[in-house]
Amino acid sequence: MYRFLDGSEQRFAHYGSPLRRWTIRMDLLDEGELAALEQFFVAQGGQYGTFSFTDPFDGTVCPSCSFDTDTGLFEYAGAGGGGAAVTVIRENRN
Amino acid sequence: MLVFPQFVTAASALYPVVKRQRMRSVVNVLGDGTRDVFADNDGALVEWDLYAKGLTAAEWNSVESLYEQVSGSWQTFTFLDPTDNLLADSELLSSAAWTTGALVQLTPGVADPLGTTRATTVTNGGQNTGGVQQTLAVPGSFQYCLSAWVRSSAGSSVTLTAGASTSVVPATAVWNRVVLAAGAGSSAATNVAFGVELPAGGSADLFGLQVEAQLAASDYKMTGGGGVYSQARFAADPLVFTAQGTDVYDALIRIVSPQN
Repeated sequence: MYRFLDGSEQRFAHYGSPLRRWTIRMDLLDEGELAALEQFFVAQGGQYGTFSFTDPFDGTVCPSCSFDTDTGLFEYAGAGGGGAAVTVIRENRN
Repeated sequence: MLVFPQFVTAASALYPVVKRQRMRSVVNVLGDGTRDVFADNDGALVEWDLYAKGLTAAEWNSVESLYEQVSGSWQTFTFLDPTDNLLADSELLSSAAWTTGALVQLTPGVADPLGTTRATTVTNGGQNTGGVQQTLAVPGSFQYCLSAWVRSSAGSSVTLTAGASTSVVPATAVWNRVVLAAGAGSSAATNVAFGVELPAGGSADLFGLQVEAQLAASDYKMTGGGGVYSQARFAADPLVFTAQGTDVYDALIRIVSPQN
């Protein structure tokens, strides 16, 4: 974006497609669900791997998504009390 | 064998247990927003926060004794992940982690009780008992719980083994989760074999083999590397505990290990 002295602007689209980001908070997970999420995170190598993610708002399947961090936090708190929070981003990747 | 102790409940942690999987990636963000991402598999770590509340003096002393033996965060010990299945490759019975009898045939891809096809048919074609077995580098003094789903249209019984402890259970035509909760039977042992055996000519479908260092089975967890961490350390040199009363101790114990 360029802003000129008269206040006018010129803007150029640079990204191939818009980035999206979902922060997903999961509570009341049982141990099997939490372990499955943890295994998926490890299998992805944190933010290294890419996968398809279904947008929970409109059901669109978004390819080339990844976790946004290398650290996954999983809280085991008894039967049905597990929790985790992950952030998924849709991105352009070479 | 230096190993993080079990408490009097035969578990090595109390809820909640916070577990962090720390991977390591190198990310290069280009001018147009695209990203190059490279994985550094050797840099992956696992961290546990164990919120130990209400420990008895004996339990706390066992933790403190280990802490002194390894000199804080200096040396390593074995940690049995309380949130995971200790067995490696729990659904890949043909992998090198497992030992099968000489005339035991494995047929993977069988329908399992979770609605997928991850079970394995185990057929013992020999004249003696045979099956699948995995030996873990874990102390024989601990309490373990071996669990598995079994099914047999041939009506074979199966024998669960955990070290010197065994249990013979009948297998029916419907899936049934069977459990053997017992001590491994040898306090000096540093390896314990867990497995399922079939009688001569027997055949059964197996799924979800799981070993946990506790008294009862929890939800099944599929594994790759398994939950035995032989290179674990205390995450920091200080180890702080609070005495809440007579024989009541609280502590936050942080443990870190390279990923299996």
